[in-house]
Amino acid sequence: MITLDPRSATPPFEQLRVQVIAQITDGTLIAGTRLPTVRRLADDLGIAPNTVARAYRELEADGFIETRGRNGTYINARGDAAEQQAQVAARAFVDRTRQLGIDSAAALALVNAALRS
Amino acid sequence: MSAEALVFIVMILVAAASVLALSLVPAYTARLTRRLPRFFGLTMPQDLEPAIRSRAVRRERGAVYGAVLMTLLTIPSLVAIESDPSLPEILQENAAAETWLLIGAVATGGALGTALASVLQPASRPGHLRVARARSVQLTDYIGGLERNGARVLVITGTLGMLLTLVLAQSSVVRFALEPVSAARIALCVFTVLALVLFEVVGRRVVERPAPAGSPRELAWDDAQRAAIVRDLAGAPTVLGLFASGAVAFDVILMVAAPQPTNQTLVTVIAVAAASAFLAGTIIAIVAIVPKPQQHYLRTLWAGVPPSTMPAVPAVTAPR
Repeated sequence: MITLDPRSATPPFEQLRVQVIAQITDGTLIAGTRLPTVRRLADDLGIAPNTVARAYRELEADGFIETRGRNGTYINARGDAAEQQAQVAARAFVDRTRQLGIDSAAALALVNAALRS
Repeated sequence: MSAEALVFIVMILVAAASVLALSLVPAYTARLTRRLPRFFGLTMPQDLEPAIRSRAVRRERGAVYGAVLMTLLTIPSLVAIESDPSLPEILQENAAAETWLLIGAVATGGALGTALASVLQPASRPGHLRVARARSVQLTDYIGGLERNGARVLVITGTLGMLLTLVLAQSSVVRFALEPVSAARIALCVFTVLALVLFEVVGRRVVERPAPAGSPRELAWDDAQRAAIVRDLAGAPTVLGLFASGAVAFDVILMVAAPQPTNQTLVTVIAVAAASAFLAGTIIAIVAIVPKPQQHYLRTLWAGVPPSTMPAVPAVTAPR
């Protein structure tokens, strides 16, 4: 969830940038997650599209996200090669369990069981 | 126009007038709103209650206006079909055809009205704090796979089955106890495909609409109501596809009932396939209802967040 306070002394693009980085760091946003389009996020937050575009540009320059042309903007895998692979696998696992209608608790139980075996 | 069709139109108009009149009664709208938290699996925030109630009423009225408008638009075509002598005899229809056409109009118009009421709805104006989801959303977040694909499968099965019936009837490979070709079938096919296209196109448009919200709780309610609209849109092709499939099943019964000079094996194969499809459809429908499909969005968009813990005021992260 991104929260924006227009009355804050911090510029909106910076609030946005910092919160996306925080969510990537704490694992809320994992590699392969697609971000909303610039226009959609701007409409949701009630700010100018240029503000969102600037935040996305800076996040991309720092390597947190990547833009895949018309396919959208995605969270980049971070860390060493093994960790990157694990993040991509985790994203694929989450997508598949959601397709199958398995809830988060059951999906986590499956991962825990697999890790123990 | 036949007397049956006229009675059906009057019934639609009376039902529509009743729903519209009820939507003006505060006690009815209050009762409608009281049911929503349990249905959507959320708690009702007092500050959002008027807005939630207004959206629920707007959705209901939209469906009624859409159904009535489409019904009224269908009347000239009913008259034209009946009175046009240039049409092939097979298309100069009977009462059943007209009723089917009207059922298609009500289902498609209702879905269209619901969607338009949502798309044309003025955006809410939250307070100075704004929250937004950090990931993109798609149609699959708002409607479960069984409902989504069920609508598609029913439409494809129904329309293809009808086309196959028409081809079989024309080719005289098998014999039917009653002639299965009719304007009703063609009209039902057109409405069924139209309803599916409406779901696929307008459903995505509803999901892509901006969701201005002042708190996670407000965003959750927006998700709930968006999911309800998407499910309403999927309901029209599901019902019409079911009708079309039912008509095909009826044709199969007529085919089995008719004496077949040849092709007895083909008739048996078609009958067994139709019965299996009906059984599979029933099982899928039961499986789809069990996991509360109206709360699918909670599992995809709010996984791990119990409704009672959704904050009414967002937490602001301090920049580092």
